[in-house]
Formats: sequence, structure tokens, C-alpha cells
Amino acid sequence: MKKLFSILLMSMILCSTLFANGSKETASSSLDTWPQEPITVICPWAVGGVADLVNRKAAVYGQELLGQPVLATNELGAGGNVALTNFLKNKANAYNLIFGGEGAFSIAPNVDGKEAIMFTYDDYVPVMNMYSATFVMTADAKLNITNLDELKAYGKDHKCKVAVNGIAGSEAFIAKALFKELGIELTLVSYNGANLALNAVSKGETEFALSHQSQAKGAVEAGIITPVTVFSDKAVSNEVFKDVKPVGDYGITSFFPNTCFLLARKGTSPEVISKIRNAYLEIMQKEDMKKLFSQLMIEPSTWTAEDMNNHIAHVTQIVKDNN
Amino acid sequence: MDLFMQGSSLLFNVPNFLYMNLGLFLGVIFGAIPGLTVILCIVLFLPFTYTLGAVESFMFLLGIYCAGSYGGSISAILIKTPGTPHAAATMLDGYPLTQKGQSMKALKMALNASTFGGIFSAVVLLFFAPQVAKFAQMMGTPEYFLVCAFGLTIIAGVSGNNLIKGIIAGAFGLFISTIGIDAMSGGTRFIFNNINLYSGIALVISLIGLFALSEVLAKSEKDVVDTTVNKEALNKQNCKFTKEEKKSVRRPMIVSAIIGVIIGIIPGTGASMASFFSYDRARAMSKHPEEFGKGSLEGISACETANNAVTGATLIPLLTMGIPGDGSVAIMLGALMINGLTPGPNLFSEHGPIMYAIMIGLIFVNLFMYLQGKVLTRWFAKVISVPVGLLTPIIVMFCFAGAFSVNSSLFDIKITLVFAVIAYIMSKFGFSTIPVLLGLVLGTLTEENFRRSLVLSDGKWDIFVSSPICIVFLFLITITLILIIRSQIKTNIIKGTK
Amino acid sequence: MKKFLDSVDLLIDNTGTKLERHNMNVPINIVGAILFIIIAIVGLSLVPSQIKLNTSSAITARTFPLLMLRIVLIFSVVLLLKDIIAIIRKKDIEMKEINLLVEIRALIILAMLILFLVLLHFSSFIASSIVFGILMLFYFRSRKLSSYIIICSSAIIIGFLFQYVLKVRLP
Repeated sequence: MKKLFSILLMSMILCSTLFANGSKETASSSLDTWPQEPITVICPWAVGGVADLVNRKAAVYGQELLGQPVLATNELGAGGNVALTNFLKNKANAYNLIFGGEGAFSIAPNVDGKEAIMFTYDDYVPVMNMYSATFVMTADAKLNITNLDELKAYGKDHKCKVAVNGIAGSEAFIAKALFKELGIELTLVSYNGANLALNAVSKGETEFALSHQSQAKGAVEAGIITPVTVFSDKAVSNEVFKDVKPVGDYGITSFFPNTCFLLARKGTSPEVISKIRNAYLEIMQKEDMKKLFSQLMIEPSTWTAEDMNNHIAHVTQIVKDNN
Repeated sequence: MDLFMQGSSLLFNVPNFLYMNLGLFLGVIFGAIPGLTVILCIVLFLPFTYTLGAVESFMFLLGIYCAGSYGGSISAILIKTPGTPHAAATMLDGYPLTQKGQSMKALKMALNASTFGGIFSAVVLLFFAPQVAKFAQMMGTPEYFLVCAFGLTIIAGVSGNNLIKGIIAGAFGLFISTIGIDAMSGGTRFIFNNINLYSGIALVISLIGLFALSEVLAKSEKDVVDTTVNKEALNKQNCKFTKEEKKSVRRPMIVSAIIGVIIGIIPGTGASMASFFSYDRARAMSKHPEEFGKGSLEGISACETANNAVTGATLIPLLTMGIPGDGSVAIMLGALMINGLTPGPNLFSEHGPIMYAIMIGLIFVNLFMYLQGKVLTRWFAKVISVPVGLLTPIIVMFCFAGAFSVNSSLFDIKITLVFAVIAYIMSKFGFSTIPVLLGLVLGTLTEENFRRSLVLSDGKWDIFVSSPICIVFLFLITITLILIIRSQIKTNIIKGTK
Repeated sequence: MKKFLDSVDLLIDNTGTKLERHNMNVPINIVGAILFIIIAIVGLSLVPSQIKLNTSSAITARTFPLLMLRIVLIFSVVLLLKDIIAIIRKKDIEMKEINLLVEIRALIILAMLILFLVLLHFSSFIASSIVFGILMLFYFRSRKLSSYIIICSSAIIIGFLFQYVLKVRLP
């Protein structure tokens, strides 16, 4: 029996040491020598998605450019909003960074369910924009619609069905904004993922779909769907999307690219921010990062903090106008 | 044929088989531990594949995927806790066999059936992918809805002895599945302004509560100090199948393999639905339907064949159209992209050799799964010789760790506890919890596809009779309902005459 | 020490046997039905506040949950009526013996699970697991030292296995 007692005592002692370990602080002591610990970059979206791929590839260069390993992780739930909420537990200058974008800061606070959003854009400091991805609108190839003029003509006597990923996603809002400016009617059909939305247009279930370029690439190459327009100021012309006229050519302004901001917790010192920013800007220049970007059909971005703030404000306005 | 040879030469490299076996081993472990899912395993080990080539990384991921699909049956059979949602149907007959001291037999049947299902679907993928893909493209939103609606009729089969209670439990599960953001309108439902409920309740989370933790609560039933299943019985187990047994499982295995493939090509449905479907079909076809739920080998063979037959089939829409059929496959899509392969109709013409290497590799994945399974099950089977008093807290530790790992959230553990209490109370009052799970599996899919159909048709209901496939399913649903009602009337008459 | 534990055991045993005599014969269908009727009514009454509507089409976000709750309600009422009619006709209805001791034990296990959860909020996974494991063994009245060692080491092994081998994040 004595043995039992001593074992219990032992385990209690063990527990207490572990307890002590559990409540470790993560704030840094000196900013000059930042970082002194490994940095974690949280991607709040799906594994295997564009942001995740970029995050993991970029993390490889962490040791080289920041002097500490960078760990890429994912924390899912509520389209990224759970991770962004949990991130608020971090203090300024913490070793955790997170991705976020217009979905979390412009859309989520302005649509249904906003009551559950406990964070605002001001809770974070933007470090840099990892990439910009231009959305593309595609049509069932049978319709033979390849630009906005043809879309307008078609829309006169048709109510257009547009497949999008999620009814309150970026794609849904730019679709609504575009059709409003063109003055034609649309029905948004929400699918559970961009691939399924594209599949719907491939099957002829809907007439149009909105997605990233890389997502539509396969079906466009196969000639099942045709690109109608890209949501940008400048024309896109690569081996898949040949001379696709942008919405900008038609004087349309209510559009935005998909972005992926790297964010730190509010209050993080400017020196730390610029240290991370410079490191990441350099990472983006690496050959295999460039290769990945072209594979994913996304563009590197040199946006400043002001550009990022403007983007959030711009998208917020579009969301409010089209809700 | 040329591509076939090129593919084979790409595949037959030692590293491919090393990564395949590593993946298989991880998959079995993640599948068997309640709370650790195949998706989680793929997510955690994905970075690993970023440095590998396309074939190597695919062999690794497919190893995880297939073995994980099988691994769930191990814990379902041994400790009455399905390691994955699709092993819930396996549990219905697997655990009774363990209680009879025939756990090895059950495990062996699960392994045989899983291997058969896996190889069947791999062969379909290899030889009939284009045809199956064409069929898949004929199925649209209204067809998906009718498949789900047909799936709901299974509730009658898993209700236990009281259909009314089964319907109540099923509707309750369907209701719970609506919690979270409504995908069709963007509005929230029953989230009580809690961000953690925003995307609904993950299936694994409810699974841990409904089956694993409620079982822990049920340990209050008896004194379980140091009790174990008879060790001698374990060693002396006769795990040779008799001729009749071999014969009896042949038909359900073939039918289930076909069901698995059909369900597999429908995006979003997945293995759980396939295994319930086949379980229901196997019982309907069986000569001994009364043995189902009491340790029927046919039951085990049916669901395990089906949930592994899904594995090859989900790859068909992925490789031919770039449509991921479930979460795990969606991640594999990423693995393809990082290697510069864009899934889509042109994938086969542009990267033929790699595609053939992957498809032939899938057959070997299943063969090696069989070999690993043979060794590992012997090892796993020892679990039941651990005293219950010792095993229970360890299971709870696994469950808590697993529940936490899904979203790195303690809130999810709270949810599992709520489900555990619900399941405990329900079983006290004679409600089966399987219909709740079925409701959770089918709820979102059923509702979304129903409402999406009506959006597509501008609110006209004739969309549900717009294609031959729709009409076939409507017919099947009607027949099934008539049969259910008829058997209910019959049993009532029997009860009445007593 | 042994004496103390034995006296604790004796005390528990005595209360146990006292409680064990408290048996209730419960008409399970009736109680089950009433339970689900309550759930359905609470659910239905919460629908207007929990599901906001922004469209006026025939099929909305409310349609499906409302339908399900109504099915729960209607079938629970049917279940209840069936048994009530059986009682009136003096036929047998399904009864089940509910033992007070068993239920109290279940509550104790639940309390331990909740304690485990609460501990996770404040401390590491391994520490909480050890505390929970020891409590659980105590509950199962295990007096074997080896069991306690096994539990503590399994907690540590699971913790390390998850975090470092399987790379799963833990609290």
C-alpha cells in the first residue's frame, strides 16, 4: 500500500511539473534578436488548397531567411474564422502568424452570422500579401459566349444561372456586382467547392461558373467550358486562357482579386513586421516559388500595408452594395 | 497497352513500395484509433510528400486512404467503437462476434472483404474509368438528392425492433446536421452566436460521443474490475471459415462492391453511406436476415467491401474531371497540382504513364494492405485481453486527443460529451443510435441537393422526374417504402394475435 | 493506509447495496416519447430566433429543420399514444428496470469525463490524462500497483505518440 501511495505522490509531482510547462509564455524578450523561437504560420483554410501550398513551400526557406524554422500549419473551421478568432489569444510579437483575406474581414462581418464574428481587421497587423489570384468567369462551351458583349446579348432574354463556391463567398459577390452593372438577371447556385461549381457548368446544369483560373484550367483545356472574362484590369493571356478580355475593359469597377494576407497580432512592433516582410518578399523571388505560382496561376504581390487596407475597404463596399 | 507498360515501369521502383507501405501502416493506425481520421492523417503527413515525385506521393497517400478505410473496422469489432464513421455498420455485427469469442474471425472477414472491395474498385478504375466517368457526368443535382433520399430509407433497417423510434432518432440526427451555416442561403442555424458551431458539427466528433464515450458511460452497468474476455478463448479461436460461410458472403461482397463503386463516384457521399447501403442490401438478400446485428459474417463482409470499394471509385471523378469525391481526395488533388498535374479531361492524354502507374499502383496498395493487415490484426486482437478497467481510461484518452485534433478545439470535446449523454439516455430508453449517425451522414447532402435542385429548376418540382436515372431512383424509393410499410403491418398483426 | 482504503470501500459498498435496492420500473416508450416531445417543442420554439429568414421563397433555410422537428414531434406523439392506448386496453407495454445505483455510477463517470475536460483547459494533455486515469482506476477499484503504472505510462506514451510521432496537436 505504501508503494501505491508513493506512486500517487510521484505522479502528482510529475503532473505539477507538466502543469508548469503548459503555461509557458510566448512573448519575446528582445526585439533586436527576434526571432528566437520557431515561427508558426497558420493557414486557416483547407490543406492542399492554394494558400496552403504557398504557405508550406514558403516555410521551407524560413530557416535560411529568418534564422529560425518556420512551421506551416492549418487550423480549420468556419471558413477560417475559427482560427482567426483563436489567434486573438496571441500577444503582440508572438511567434504565431496567420493568413486572412477579404473573406474574413470584408465579407464575414457583413453577412448572416456576423454576430458570431468576434474579431475585426484592426485586431491584426498586415505583414504582406502572399499572392493575388484573378477570378475567371467561364461558360458552358455550347453557348459560345467568349466575352461580356455576348454575355449581355445572351442575358437579355435569359435568366443566367451562375455556379459559385458558397453563397457568401468572394465569387458570389463579384458575380452579383458584375450582373448588376451589366443590368442582367442572375440566379446564384451555390456548390460545396469550386470544383463542384465548375463541374456543374461542365454538365450543363448551370450556364456559368466563377472560379480561380487554376481550378478552371482542366475543363477549359478540354474545351468543355470557355472563359468569358477575367476579373481584372488587364487582359489575361497564357497558354490556357488566351486573350481573355478583362471586366476592366468594359468600365466595370466592382471586382477584386482573391488575396491572402500574412498577418501578425495587433501591436507587433514595426521592426518585427518589416523583418518578416522582407524575408517573405525575398522568398517569393526563389525559383521554385515562381514555378509554384505559375502552376497555381496566381501572381506574386508587392502590396504595401496601405494597399491591403484599401483592398479590405473596397471589398467591404462591394459586399455592402450587393448584399 | 503502351501506356500500361510505361506506367508499370514507372511504378516498379523500390521507393514507391516503401512509401506505399509506410502510408498503409499509418492509415491502419489512424483508422483504428477513434477520433483520428484518414483526412487528419493525410493532412498531417502531406508536407512529407511535397518533396516526393507524383507517383511516390500518390502511393503514400493512397496507402493511407485505403488502409484508413479498413482500419476503422478493427476498433469497431474489438471495442465497439468505430474508428471511422463508415465502420459504424461493421460494428453492428463485428462486436457481437467478439462477445462470442470470435473476434479473429470477424477481423479476418473485415480484412478479406476490404481487400476484395479495394481491388475490385482499382480494377474498375484501371479498365472502365472513362465509361464510369461518363455515367457520373449523367448524374446531376436532382439525382444526388434522390440517391440520398433512397439512403434515408435505410433508417428502417437499422431501427432495431421499433420503426417509430428509428424514425424519431433518424429525424433527430437529420435535424442536428442542419446546425451551422446554411450553404444555400448563407444564413446561420442554431449556432447560438458561437463561432465553433459556424461550420456545423464534424461527423467524427459526433461519432466519438455517440459510440465511444457513451460506451464508457455504459460501463456503469456492471462491475468491471479486471474483467477481460476469456484469454483462452482468444487463443483457441477457430478462425477458419467453413464452406457455407465462404459461400454465404460471396454474393453480398459482389453486390456491395458494385454499390461502393456507384456511391464512390457521387461527390460528397463517401464510404459511410456506401457501407450502410450495402449492409441494408445484404440483409435484404440474405437467407439469414435474423442473424444481422447478432454477429453475421455477411453483414461484416458487405460493409467492409463497400467502404473500400469507394476508394478506387472516388479517384475516377478526381482523375477524369478534377472533382474530389471527399475530403481526403480533395487533398490528393493538391498533391497532384503541386506536381504540375492539372486534373481534368486532358490528364490522361498529357500524363498517361503517371496515371497508369497510379492506377496499377492502387491494386498493389490493396495487396500490401492485406499483408500488413494479416500481421497487424493479430497484434491488435490482443487489445481485448486488456482488463476493461484499464482499457476504458485509455480509450477515453484516445478519444479526447482525437476529438481535440479535428479542429484543435476543446469545444469539440464538449460536443462529444453532449453526444455521449444523448446516446446514453437514448439507449436507456431503447432508441438505436445508428439512425442518428445515418441522419448526420445524409442530412446536409440531402437538404443541399434538394434545395439546389429547386434553385436550378426555378422552383419547379418536375426536375425530380427529368431524367431516366431520377425515375429509376423514384421507383426504388417507392418500392422500398411499400415493403417497409407491408412488413410493419405484418409484425403488428403478429403482435396483435399474441 | 490499507485500513483507510478498506473502510472507504466498505462505506461505498454499504451505500451501494442500499442504492441497489432502489429499482424503478420505467415504461421506456412513454418516457422516451415525452423526452423527444420536449426536445422537439424546445427546438421548434427556438427556430424563429435561431434561423433568420431573408428570402420569401417556398423552400427556405427553415424548411428542412422544421420538417425534421415536426417529424420528431409527430412520431413521438404516436409512440406515446400507442402505449397509452395499450394501457387503457390493459395490454402489456415495454418496461425496463432502471437501477439507481447504475445511474449514479454513470453520473460519476460523466463527472470524471467533465473533470478531464476542465483539466485540459488549464494544463497539458499528459498531466490531465494521468489525473483522469488514476481517478478512473480508483473508480474501477483497481488496487494493483501495476495498473496505475500502466495508466500513467500510457498517458505519457499517448501524449508523445500523438505529438511527436503522429504529429497531432494536443491541448
